[in-house]
Amino acid sequence: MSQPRAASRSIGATAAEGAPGASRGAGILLPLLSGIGGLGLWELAVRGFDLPSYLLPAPSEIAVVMAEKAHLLLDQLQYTAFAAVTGFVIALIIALVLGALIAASPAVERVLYVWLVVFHAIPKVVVAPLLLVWIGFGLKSSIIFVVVFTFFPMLVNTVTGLRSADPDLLLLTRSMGGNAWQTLRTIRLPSAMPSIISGIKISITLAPLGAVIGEFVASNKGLGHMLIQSVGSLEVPTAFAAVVVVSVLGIITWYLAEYVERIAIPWHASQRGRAEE
Amino acid sequence: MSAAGIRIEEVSRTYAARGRQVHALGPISAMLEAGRTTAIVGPSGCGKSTLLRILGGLDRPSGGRVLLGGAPVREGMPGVGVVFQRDLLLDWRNILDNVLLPAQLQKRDLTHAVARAHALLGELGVGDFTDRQPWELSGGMRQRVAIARALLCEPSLLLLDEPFSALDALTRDQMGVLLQRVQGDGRTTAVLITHSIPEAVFLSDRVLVMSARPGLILDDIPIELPRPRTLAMREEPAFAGLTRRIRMHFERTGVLTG
Repeated sequence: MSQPRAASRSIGATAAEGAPGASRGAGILLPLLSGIGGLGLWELAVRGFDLPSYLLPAPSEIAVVMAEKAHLLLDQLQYTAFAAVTGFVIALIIALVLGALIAASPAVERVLYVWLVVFHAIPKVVVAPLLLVWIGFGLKSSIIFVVVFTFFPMLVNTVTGLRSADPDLLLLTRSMGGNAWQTLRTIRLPSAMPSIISGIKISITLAPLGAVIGEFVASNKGLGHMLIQSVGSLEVPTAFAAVVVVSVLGIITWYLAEYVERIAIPWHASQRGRAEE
Repeated sequence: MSAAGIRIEEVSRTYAARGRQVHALGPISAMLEAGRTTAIVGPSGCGKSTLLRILGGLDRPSGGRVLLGGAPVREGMPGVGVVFQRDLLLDWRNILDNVLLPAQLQKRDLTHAVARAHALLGELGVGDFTDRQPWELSGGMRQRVAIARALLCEPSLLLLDEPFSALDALTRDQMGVLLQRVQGDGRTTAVLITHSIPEAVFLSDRVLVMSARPGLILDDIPIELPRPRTLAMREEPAFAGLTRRIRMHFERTGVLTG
Protein backbone atom coordinates (compact mmCIF):
# COMPACT_ATOMS: atom_id res chain seq x y z
CA MET A 1 0.00 0.00 0.00
CA SER A 2 1.43 3.30 -0.93
CA GLN A 3 2.02 6.03 1.60
CA PRO A 4 0.34 9.40 1.19
CA ARG A 5 2.13 12.55 0.26
CA ALA A 6 2.05 15.32 2.82
CA ALA A 7 -1.39 16.87 2.90
CA SER A 8 -1.44 20.29 1.37
CA ARG A 9 -2.30 23.26 3.55
CA SER A 10 -5.76 24.69 3.21
CA ILE A 11 -6.35 28.04 1.54
CA GLY A 12 -7.70 29.43 4.80
CA ALA A 13 -4.51 28.74 6.78
CA THR A 14 -3.66 31.44 9.30
CA ALA A 15 -0.48 33.52 9.20
CA ALA A 16 1.01 31.45 12.02
CA GLU A 17 0.26 28.27 10.12
CA GLY A 18 1.79 29.84 7.07
CA ALA A 19 5.16 30.15 8.82
CA PRO A 20 5.92 26.60 9.93
CA GLY A 21 9.46 27.45 11.09
CA ALA A 22 8.24 30.15 13.51
CA SER A 23 5.40 27.95 14.72
CA ARG A 24 7.73 25.03 15.36
CA GLY A 25 10.16 27.34 17.18
CA ALA A 26 7.39 28.55 19.50
CA GLY A 27 6.28 24.95 19.93
CA ILE A 28 9.69 24.00 21.38
CA LEU A 29 10.57 27.27 23.12
CA LEU A 30 7.44 27.68 25.23
CA PRO A 31 7.51 24.24 26.89
CA LEU A 32 11.29 24.65 27.41
CA LEU A 33 10.83 28.02 29.13
CA SER A 34 7.96 26.62 31.17
CA GLY A 35 10.13 23.69 32.30
CA ILE A 36 13.11 25.85 33.19
CA GLY A 37 10.84 28.31 35.02
CA GLY A 38 9.24 25.53 37.06
CA LEU A 39 12.60 24.05 38.03
CA GLY A 40 13.86 27.53 38.96
CA LEU A 41 10.89 28.13 41.27
CA TRP A 42 11.41 24.71 42.87
CA GLU A 43 15.12 25.49 43.45
CA LEU A 44 14.27 28.90 44.95
CA ALA A 45 11.57 27.42 47.20
CA VAL A 46 13.91 24.75 48.59
CA ARG A 47 16.67 27.29 49.22
CA GLY A 48 14.34 30.04 50.42
CA PHE A 49 12.51 27.85 52.95
CA ASP A 50 15.70 25.95 53.76
CA LEU A 51 14.00 22.60 53.25
CA PRO A 52 16.04 19.53 54.24
CA SER A 53 16.90 17.21 51.35
CA TYR A 54 15.18 14.22 53.02
CA LEU A 55 11.91 16.15 52.64
CA LEU A 56 12.38 17.80 49.25
CA PRO A 57 15.75 17.91 47.51
CA ALA A 58 16.51 20.81 45.17
CA PRO A 59 16.70 20.07 41.41
CA SER A 60 20.42 20.86 41.49
CA GLU A 61 20.95 18.26 44.21
CA ILE A 62 18.99 15.67 42.21
CA ALA A 63 21.11 16.50 39.16
CA VAL A 64 24.30 15.95 41.16
CA VAL A 65 23.03 12.59 42.44
CA MET A 66 22.04 11.60 38.89
CA ALA A 67 25.54 12.40 37.66
CA GLU A 68 27.18 10.52 40.54
CA LYS A 69 24.97 7.45 40.17
CA ALA A 70 24.60 7.55 36.40
CA HIS A 71 26.02 4.08 35.94
CA LEU A 72 23.75 2.55 38.59
CA LEU A 73 20.70 4.39 37.26
CA LEU A 74 21.37 3.24 33.71
CA ASP A 75 21.79 -0.32 34.93
CA GLN A 76 18.46 -0.19 36.78
CA LEU A 77 16.83 1.55 33.82
CA GLN A 78 17.91 -1.24 31.52
CA TYR A 79 16.28 -3.80 33.81
CA THR A 80 13.02 -1.84 34.16
CA ALA A 81 12.85 -0.97 30.46
CA PHE A 82 13.36 -4.61 29.51
CA ALA A 83 10.49 -5.66 31.81
CA ALA A 84 8.27 -2.87 30.48
CA VAL A 85 8.95 -3.56 26.80
CA THR A 86 8.72 -7.36 27.10
CA GLY A 87 5.52 -7.20 29.14
CA PHE A 88 4.01 -4.66 26.77
CA VAL A 89 4.77 -6.73 23.65
CA ILE A 90 3.31 -9.87 25.27
CA ALA A 91 0.17 -7.93 26.27
CA LEU A 92 -0.13 -6.47 22.75
CA ILE A 93 0.02 -9.90 21.11
CA ILE A 94 -2.54 -11.37 23.54
CA ALA A 95 -4.84 -8.34 23.13
CA LEU A 96 -4.71 -8.46 19.32
CA VAL A 97 -5.36 -12.21 19.09
CA LEU A 98 -8.05 -12.26 21.78
CA GLY A 99 -9.59 -9.05 20.40
CA ALA A 100 -9.82 -10.55 16.90
CA LEU A 101 -11.44 -13.71 18.30
CA ILE A 102 -13.96 -11.75 20.36
CA ALA A 103 -14.78 -9.43 17.45
CA ALA A 104 -15.23 -12.39 15.12
CA SER A 105 -17.31 -14.60 17.38
CA PRO A 106 -20.12 -13.59 19.75
CA ALA A 107 -19.81 -17.04 21.35
CA VAL A 108 -16.17 -16.38 22.29
CA GLU A 109 -17.22 -13.02 23.70
CA ARG A 110 -19.97 -14.58 25.84
CA VAL A 111 -17.53 -17.14 27.27
CA LEU A 112 -14.74 -14.64 27.97
CA TYR A 113 -16.62 -11.48 28.81
CA VAL A 114 -17.37 -12.23 32.47
CA TRP A 115 -13.75 -13.24 33.10
CA LEU A 116 -12.43 -10.13 31.43
CA VAL A 117 -14.70 -7.91 33.52
CA VAL A 118 -13.60 -9.67 36.72
CA PHE A 119 -9.97 -9.40 35.63
CA HIS A 120 -10.34 -5.70 34.91
CA ALA A 121 -12.23 -5.00 38.15
CA ILE A 122 -9.53 -6.44 40.41
CA PRO A 123 -7.23 -3.63 41.58
CA LYS A 124 -3.92 -4.40 39.90
CA VAL A 125 -1.81 -3.30 42.88
CA VAL A 126 -3.53 -5.96 45.02
CA VAL A 127 -2.30 -8.62 42.60
CA ALA A 128 1.35 -7.66 43.09
CA PRO A 129 1.90 -9.49 46.43
CA LEU A 130 0.12 -12.54 44.99
CA LEU A 131 2.56 -12.59 42.07
CA LEU A 132 5.34 -12.71 44.62
CA VAL A 133 3.75 -15.84 46.12
CA TRP A 134 3.01 -17.48 42.77
CA ILE A 135 6.07 -16.59 40.72
CA GLY A 136 8.61 -15.39 43.22
CA PHE A 137 11.15 -12.60 43.11
CA GLY A 138 12.61 -11.42 39.82
CA LEU A 139 12.12 -10.28 36.29
CA LYS A 140 9.27 -12.67 35.48
CA SER A 141 7.03 -11.09 38.12
CA SER A 142 7.71 -7.60 36.78
CA ILE A 143 6.97 -8.67 33.21
CA ILE A 144 3.70 -10.35 34.24
CA PHE A 145 2.76 -7.26 36.18
CA VAL A 146 3.30 -5.13 33.08
CA VAL A 147 1.09 -7.54 31.10
CA VAL A 148 -1.65 -7.25 33.74
CA PHE A 149 -1.40 -3.47 33.73
CA THR A 150 -1.35 -2.90 29.97
CA PHE A 151 -3.48 -5.68 28.50
CA PHE A 152 -7.02 -4.43 29.05
CA PRO A 153 -7.02 -1.03 27.23
CA MET A 154 -5.50 -2.64 24.16
CA LEU A 155 -8.02 -5.50 24.20
CA VAL A 156 -11.03 -3.19 24.53
CA ASN A 157 -9.78 -0.89 21.77
CA THR A 158 -8.98 -3.80 19.45
CA VAL A 159 -12.49 -5.24 19.83
CA THR A 160 -14.09 -1.80 19.40
CA GLY A 161 -11.97 -1.02 16.35
CA LEU A 162 -12.57 -4.33 14.60
CA ARG A 163 -16.31 -4.00 15.16
CA SER A 164 -16.60 -0.41 14.01
CA ALA A 165 -15.83 -0.91 10.32
CA ASP A 166 -18.27 1.05 8.13
CA PRO A 167 -21.08 -1.40 7.13
CA ASP A 168 -21.20 0.18 3.67
CA LEU A 169 -17.51 -0.59 3.17
CA LEU A 170 -18.18 -4.19 4.14
CA LEU A 171 -21.05 -4.25 1.63
CA LEU A 172 -18.70 -2.84 -1.00
CA THR A 173 -16.17 -5.66 -0.54
CA ARG A 174 -19.00 -8.21 -0.58
CA SER A 175 -20.18 -6.77 -3.89
CA MET A 176 -16.66 -7.26 -5.24
CA GLY A 177 -16.54 -10.87 -4.07
CA GLY A 178 -14.11 -10.28 -1.19
CA ASN A 179 -13.87 -13.22 1.24
CA ALA A 180 -13.66 -12.96 5.04
CA TRP A 181 -9.85 -12.87 5.09
CA GLN A 182 -9.66 -10.23 2.36
CA THR A 183 -12.29 -8.15 4.17
CA LEU A 184 -10.29 -8.38 7.39
CA ARG A 185 -7.10 -7.35 5.62
CA THR A 186 -8.46 -4.59 3.39
CA ILE A 187 -11.28 -3.10 5.49
CA ARG A 188 -11.61 -4.27 9.08
CA LEU A 189 -7.97 -4.06 10.14
CA PRO A 190 -7.18 -0.65 8.58
CA SER A 191 -10.48 0.71 9.96
CA ALA A 192 -9.55 -0.62 13.40
CA MET A 193 -6.03 0.83 13.39
CA PRO A 194 -6.88 4.25 14.91
CA SER A 195 -8.66 2.52 17.79
CA ILE A 196 -5.89 -0.06 18.25
CA ILE A 197 -3.26 2.70 18.25
CA SER A 198 -5.27 4.63 20.87
CA GLY A 199 -5.20 1.52 23.07
CA ILE A 200 -1.46 1.18 22.50
CA LYS A 201 -0.92 4.83 23.48
CA ILE A 202 -2.81 4.36 26.73
CA SER A 203 -1.06 1.09 27.53
CA ILE A 204 2.46 2.10 26.57
CA THR A 205 2.55 4.76 29.27
CA LEU A 206 1.24 2.23 31.79
CA ALA A 207 4.06 -0.21 30.95
CA PRO A 208 6.88 1.56 32.90
CA LEU A 209 4.43 2.14 35.74
CA GLY A 210 3.56 -1.56 35.81
CA ALA A 211 7.23 -2.52 35.80
CA VAL A 212 8.04 -0.13 38.66
CA ILE A 213 5.11 -1.31 40.81
CA GLY A 214 6.11 -4.90 40.09
CA GLU A 215 9.63 -4.10 41.25
CA PHE A 216 8.32 -2.48 44.46
CA VAL A 217 7.15 -5.84 45.71
CA ALA A 218 8.69 -8.61 43.69
CA SER A 219 12.16 -7.63 42.58
CA ASN A 220 15.58 -6.91 43.95
CA LYS A 221 16.55 -4.91 40.89
CA GLY A 222 15.18 -2.14 38.71
CA LEU A 223 14.15 1.47 39.23
CA GLY A 224 11.15 0.48 41.36
CA HIS A 225 13.35 -1.48 43.73
CA MET A 226 15.88 1.37 43.80
CA LEU A 227 13.10 3.83 44.59
CA ILE A 228 11.67 1.84 47.48
CA GLN A 229 15.15 1.16 48.89
CA SER A 230 16.12 4.84 48.71
CA VAL A 231 12.96 5.98 50.45
CA GLY A 232 13.48 3.33 53.14
CA SER A 233 16.96 4.66 53.87
CA LEU A 234 15.87 8.31 53.56
CA GLU A 235 18.06 8.82 50.49
CA VAL A 236 15.36 11.02 49.02
CA PRO A 237 17.56 12.65 46.31
CA THR A 238 18.32 9.16 44.96
CA ALA A 239 14.61 8.33 45.04
CA PHE A 240 13.92 11.51 43.08
CA ALA A 241 16.67 10.58 40.61
CA ALA A 242 14.93 7.24 40.05
CA VAL A 243 11.59 9.03 39.60
CA VAL A 244 13.16 11.32 36.99
CA VAL A 245 14.52 8.33 35.07
CA VAL A 246 11.14 6.55 35.21
CA SER A 247 9.48 9.72 33.94
CA VAL A 248 11.98 9.99 31.09
CA LEU A 249 11.22 6.37 30.22
CA GLY A 250 7.49 7.20 30.18
CA ILE A 251 8.06 10.24 27.96
CA ILE A 252 10.21 8.25 25.54
CA THR A 253 7.59 5.50 25.26
CA TRP A 254 4.87 8.10 24.69
CA TYR A 255 6.78 9.73 21.83
CA LEU A 256 7.56 6.28 20.45
CA ALA A 257 3.82 5.58 20.37
CA GLU A 258 3.21 8.92 18.66
CA TYR A 259 5.79 8.01 16.04
CA VAL A 260 4.21 4.59 15.49
CA GLU A 261 0.85 6.34 15.12
CA ARG A 262 2.19 8.62 12.40
CA ILE A 263 3.70 5.69 10.52
CA ALA A 264 0.72 3.37 10.95
CA ILE A 265 -2.20 5.70 10.21
CA PRO A 266 -0.94 8.68 8.19
CA TRP A 267 -4.31 8.71 6.42
CA HIS A 268 -6.36 9.26 9.57
CA ALA A 269 -7.95 12.68 10.19
CA SER A 270 -5.90 13.07 13.39
CA GLN A 271 -2.63 12.71 11.47
CA ARG A 272 -3.27 14.62 8.26
CA GLY A 273 -0.84 17.49 7.89
CA ARG A 274 1.40 16.18 10.68
CA ALA A 275 3.74 14.71 8.10
CA GLU A 276 4.99 18.26 7.54
CA GLU A 277 5.85 18.82 11.18
CA MET B 1 -17.35 -9.33 -20.48
CA SER B 2 -20.54 -8.95 -22.55
CA ALA B 3 -23.72 -7.41 -21.16
CA ALA B 4 -26.27 -9.71 -19.57
CA GLY B 5 -30.01 -9.24 -19.31
CA ILE B 6 -31.79 -9.35 -15.95
CA ARG B 7 -35.07 -11.14 -15.38
CA ILE B 8 -36.93 -10.06 -12.23
CA GLU B 9 -39.60 -12.64 -11.37
CA GLU B 10 -42.21 -11.77 -8.72
CA VAL B 11 -39.57 -10.29 -6.41
CA SER B 12 -40.74 -9.09 -3.01
CA ARG B 13 -39.02 -8.13 0.21
CA THR B 14 -40.37 -8.12 3.72
CA TYR B 15 -38.27 -7.43 6.80
CA ALA B 16 -38.78 -7.40 10.53
CA ALA B 17 -38.59 -4.05 12.31
CA ARG B 18 -39.36 -3.57 15.99
CA GLY B 19 -41.21 -6.85 16.21
CA ARG B 20 -43.45 -6.38 13.20
CA GLN B 21 -43.19 -7.33 9.56
CA VAL B 22 -42.71 -4.49 7.09
CA HIS B 23 -43.59 -5.16 3.48
CA ALA B 24 -41.01 -3.05 1.66
CA LEU B 25 -41.11 -4.17 -1.94
CA GLY B 26 -43.17 -5.87 -4.63
CA PRO B 27 -44.02 -8.30 -5.88
CA ILE B 28 -42.53 -6.92 -9.07
CA SER B 29 -41.56 -8.49 -12.36
CA ALA B 30 -39.58 -6.97 -15.23
CA MET B 31 -37.10 -7.87 -17.91
CA LEU B 32 -34.14 -5.50 -18.15
CA GLU B 33 -32.58 -5.86 -21.58
CA ALA B 34 -28.88 -6.55 -21.98
CA GLY B 35 -26.72 -3.55 -22.75
CA ARG B 36 -29.43 -1.04 -21.87
CA THR B 37 -29.68 1.42 -18.99
CA THR B 38 -32.78 1.25 -16.84
CA ALA B 39 -33.52 4.00 -14.35
CA ILE B 40 -35.75 3.35 -11.37
CA VAL B 41 -37.38 6.41 -9.83
CA GLY B 42 -39.64 6.49 -6.83
CA PRO B 43 -40.25 8.22 -3.53
CA SER B 44 -38.03 7.68 -0.49
CA GLY B 45 -38.58 4.35 1.22
CA CYS B 46 -40.22 2.68 -1.80
CA GLY B 47 -37.63 -0.09 -1.86
CA LYS B 48 -35.49 1.14 -4.78
CA SER B 49 -32.19 0.53 -3.03
CA THR B 50 -33.48 -2.78 -1.67
CA LEU B 51 -34.30 -3.85 -5.23
CA LEU B 52 -30.83 -2.79 -6.39
CA ARG B 53 -29.19 -4.85 -3.67
CA ILE B 54 -31.30 -7.84 -4.61
CA LEU B 55 -30.25 -7.40 -8.26
CA GLY B 56 -26.61 -7.41 -7.16
CA GLY B 57 -27.05 -10.48 -4.95
CA LEU B 58 -26.30 -8.40 -1.85
CA ASP B 59 -29.76 -9.00 -0.35
CA ARG B 60 -32.11 -11.95 -0.63
CA PRO B 61 -35.68 -11.46 -1.77
CA SER B 62 -38.43 -12.76 0.52
CA GLY B 63 -40.16 -14.07 -2.57
CA GLY B 64 -39.40 -14.52 -6.25
CA ARG B 65 -36.01 -14.57 -7.91
CA VAL B 66 -33.61 -12.62 -10.10
CA LEU B 67 -31.76 -14.16 -13.03
CA LEU B 68 -28.70 -12.54 -14.56
CA GLY B 69 -27.93 -13.95 -17.98
CA GLY B 70 -30.19 -16.89 -17.09
CA ALA B 71 -28.45 -17.77 -13.80
CA PRO B 72 -29.71 -16.81 -10.32
CA VAL B 73 -27.81 -13.86 -8.88
CA ARG B 74 -25.54 -14.48 -5.93
CA GLU B 75 -23.37 -12.35 -3.66
CA GLY B 76 -19.95 -11.45 -5.02
CA MET B 77 -20.60 -12.82 -8.51
CA PRO B 78 -18.05 -11.63 -11.04
CA GLY B 79 -19.08 -9.08 -13.62
CA VAL B 80 -21.04 -6.81 -11.29
CA GLY B 81 -19.94 -3.26 -10.51
CA VAL B 82 -21.69 -1.15 -7.89
CA VAL B 83 -21.55 2.62 -7.30
CA PHE B 84 -23.10 3.62 -4.01
CA GLN B 85 -24.53 6.94 -2.86
CA ARG B 86 -21.35 7.53 -0.84
CA ASP B 87 -18.13 7.13 -2.78
CA LEU B 88 -16.80 4.68 -0.17
CA LEU B 89 -13.16 5.30 -1.03
CA LEU B 90 -10.71 3.82 1.43
CA ASP B 91 -8.78 6.61 3.14
CA TRP B 92 -5.77 4.34 3.67
CA ARG B 93 -5.32 3.74 -0.07
CA ASN B 94 -4.35 6.26 -2.70
CA ILE B 95 -6.62 6.86 -5.69
CA LEU B 96 -5.02 4.25 -7.93
CA ASP B 97 -5.08 1.60 -5.21
CA ASN B 98 -8.73 2.39 -4.52
CA VAL B 99 -9.61 1.79 -8.16
CA LEU B 100 -7.60 -1.44 -8.18
CA LEU B 101 -9.47 -2.88 -5.19
CA PRO B 102 -11.92 -5.11 -7.15
CA ALA B 103 -9.09 -6.50 -9.31
CA GLN B 104 -7.10 -7.33 -6.18
CA LEU B 105 -10.05 -8.96 -4.42
CA GLN B 106 -10.89 -10.98 -7.52
CA LYS B 107 -7.21 -11.85 -8.06
CA ARG B 108 -7.16 -10.50 -11.61
CA ASP B 109 -4.14 -9.65 -13.71
CA LEU B 110 -2.87 -6.46 -12.09
CA THR B 111 -0.78 -5.27 -15.02
CA HIS B 112 -3.87 -5.08 -17.19
CA ALA B 113 -5.90 -3.63 -14.29
CA VAL B 114 -3.36 -0.83 -13.68
CA ALA B 115 -3.43 0.14 -17.36
CA ARG B 116 -7.23 0.15 -17.41
CA ALA B 117 -7.39 2.10 -14.13
CA HIS B 118 -5.17 4.82 -15.59
CA ALA B 119 -7.27 4.92 -18.77
CA LEU B 120 -10.56 5.16 -16.84
CA LEU B 121 -9.28 7.81 -14.44
CA GLY B 122 -7.99 9.81 -17.40
CA GLU B 123 -11.30 9.55 -19.20
CA LEU B 124 -13.11 10.68 -16.06
CA GLY B 125 -10.82 13.70 -15.68
CA VAL B 126 -8.96 12.58 -12.56
CA GLY B 127 -5.95 11.02 -14.25
CA ASP B 128 -3.56 13.49 -12.61
CA PHE B 129 -4.53 12.44 -9.11
CA THR B 130 -3.64 8.73 -9.06
CA ASP B 131 -1.12 9.10 -6.24
CA ARG B 132 -3.29 11.41 -4.13
CA GLN B 133 -5.25 10.34 -1.07
CA PRO B 134 -9.08 10.42 -1.21
CA TRP B 135 -9.37 13.27 1.31
CA GLU B 136 -7.39 15.52 -1.01
CA LEU B 137 -10.14 15.33 -3.66
CA SER B 138 -13.50 17.10 -3.93
CA GLY B 139 -16.80 15.21 -3.66
CA GLY B 140 -17.27 15.13 -7.43
CA MET B 141 -13.74 13.88 -8.03
CA ARG B 142 -14.15 11.20 -5.41
CA GLN B 143 -17.34 9.97 -7.03
CA ARG B 144 -15.56 9.80 -10.40
CA VAL B 145 -12.97 7.55 -8.77
CA ALA B 146 -15.79 5.39 -7.40
CA ILE B 147 -17.20 5.06 -10.93
CA ALA B 148 -13.77 4.12 -12.28
CA ARG B 149 -13.53 1.46 -9.55
CA ALA B 150 -16.93 0.02 -10.49
CA LEU B 151 -16.00 -0.10 -14.18
CA LEU B 152 -12.48 -1.48 -13.71
CA CYS B 153 -13.33 -5.13 -14.26
CA GLU B 154 -15.56 -4.33 -17.27
CA PRO B 155 -18.78 -5.39 -15.56
CA SER B 156 -21.64 -6.89 -17.51
CA LEU B 157 -23.97 -5.36 -14.90
CA LEU B 158 -23.46 -1.90 -13.42
CA LEU B 159 -25.61 -0.94 -10.44
CA LEU B 160 -25.81 2.74 -9.56
CA ASP B 161 -27.47 3.58 -6.25
CA GLU B 162 -28.15 7.34 -6.33
CA PRO B 163 -24.51 7.92 -7.27
CA PHE B 164 -24.79 11.69 -7.70
CA SER B 165 -27.24 12.58 -4.96
CA ALA B 166 -24.57 14.08 -2.70
CA LEU B 167 -23.18 16.35 -5.41
CA ASP B 168 -24.05 19.92 -6.35
CA ALA B 169 -26.23 20.53 -9.42
CA LEU B 170 -23.41 21.51 -11.80
CA THR B 171 -21.18 18.58 -10.84
CA ARG B 172 -24.18 16.30 -11.11
CA ASP B 173 -24.84 17.37 -14.71
CA GLN B 174 -21.19 16.90 -15.60
CA MET B 175 -21.14 13.46 -13.98
CA GLY B 176 -24.12 12.40 -16.08
CA VAL B 177 -22.26 13.31 -19.27
CA LEU B 178 -19.11 11.53 -18.08
CA LEU B 179 -21.01 8.41 -17.06
CA GLN B 180 -22.51 8.11 -20.54
CA ARG B 181 -19.05 8.38 -22.03
CA VAL B 182 -17.36 5.68 -19.95
CA GLN B 183 -20.27 3.29 -19.68
CA GLY B 184 -19.46 1.74 -23.02
CA ASP B 185 -21.52 1.13 -26.08
CA GLY B 186 -23.93 -1.61 -25.10
CA ARG B 187 -21.34 -3.70 -23.28
CA THR B 188 -22.89 -3.05 -19.88
CA THR B 189 -26.39 -3.47 -18.57
CA ALA B 190 -26.93 -0.63 -16.11
CA VAL B 191 -29.53 -0.03 -13.44
CA LEU B 192 -29.70 3.49 -12.03
CA ILE B 193 -31.58 4.34 -8.85
CA THR B 194 -32.34 8.04 -8.58
CA HIS B 195 -34.68 10.59 -7.06
CA SER B 196 -34.04 12.97 -9.95
CA ILE B 197 -36.54 12.72 -12.80
CA PRO B 198 -34.35 14.66 -15.32
CA GLU B 199 -31.35 12.51 -14.41
CA ALA B 200 -33.36 9.33 -14.97
CA VAL B 201 -34.52 10.49 -18.41
CA PHE B 202 -31.10 11.83 -19.41
CA LEU B 203 -29.14 8.70 -18.56
CA SER B 204 -31.48 5.82 -19.34
CA ASP B 205 -33.12 3.91 -22.16
CA ARG B 206 -36.08 3.10 -19.97
CA VAL B 207 -37.56 4.42 -16.72
CA LEU B 208 -39.45 2.31 -14.22
CA VAL B 209 -41.61 4.47 -11.97
CA MET B 210 -42.22 3.00 -8.55
CA SER B 211 -44.98 3.62 -6.05
CA ALA B 212 -44.54 4.40 -2.37
CA ARG B 213 -44.04 1.41 -0.01
CA PRO B 214 -44.51 -1.38 -0.81
CA GLY B 215 -42.72 -0.47 -4.03
CA LEU B 216 -44.59 -1.57 -7.15
CA ILE B 217 -43.97 -0.62 -10.76
CA LEU B 218 -46.45 2.13 -11.69
CA ASP B 219 -45.19 2.76 -15.19
CA ASP B 220 -42.60 1.53 -17.62
CA ILE B 221 -41.48 4.35 -19.91
CA PRO B 222 -39.14 3.83 -22.88
CA ILE B 223 -36.74 6.74 -23.45
CA GLU B 224 -36.11 6.95 -27.14
CA LEU B 225 -33.90 10.02 -27.19
CA PRO B 226 -30.85 9.78 -29.47
CA ARG B 227 -27.42 9.06 -28.04
CA PRO B 228 -24.97 10.48 -27.15
CA ARG B 229 -27.10 12.88 -25.16
CA THR B 230 -26.07 16.42 -24.46
CA LEU B 231 -27.10 18.71 -21.62
CA ALA B 232 -28.84 20.96 -24.17
CA MET B 233 -31.24 18.09 -25.00
CA ARG B 234 -32.86 18.58 -21.62
CA GLU B 235 -34.47 21.75 -22.92
CA GLU B 236 -36.13 20.00 -25.86
CA PRO B 237 -39.89 19.32 -25.85
CA ALA B 238 -39.42 15.54 -26.08
CA PHE B 239 -37.31 15.55 -22.92
CA ALA B 240 -39.79 17.79 -21.10
CA GLY B 241 -42.64 15.52 -22.16
CA LEU B 242 -40.96 12.49 -20.65
CA THR B 243 -40.17 14.21 -17.37
CA ARG B 244 -43.77 15.49 -17.22
CA ARG B 245 -45.13 11.98 -17.69
CA ILE B 246 -43.04 10.71 -14.76
CA ARG B 247 -43.83 13.71 -12.58
CA MET B 248 -47.55 13.23 -13.10
CA HIS B 249 -47.37 9.81 -11.45
CA PHE B 250 -45.96 11.39 -8.32
CA GLU B 251 -48.47 14.21 -8.41
CA ARG B 252 -51.33 11.74 -8.79
CA THR B 253 -50.15 9.66 -5.83
CA GLY B 254 -49.51 12.73 -3.66
CA VAL B 255 -45.72 12.31 -3.56
CA LEU B 256 -45.37 15.69 -5.32
CA THR B 257 -47.75 18.54 -4.66
CA GLY B 258 -48.07 22.14 -5.81
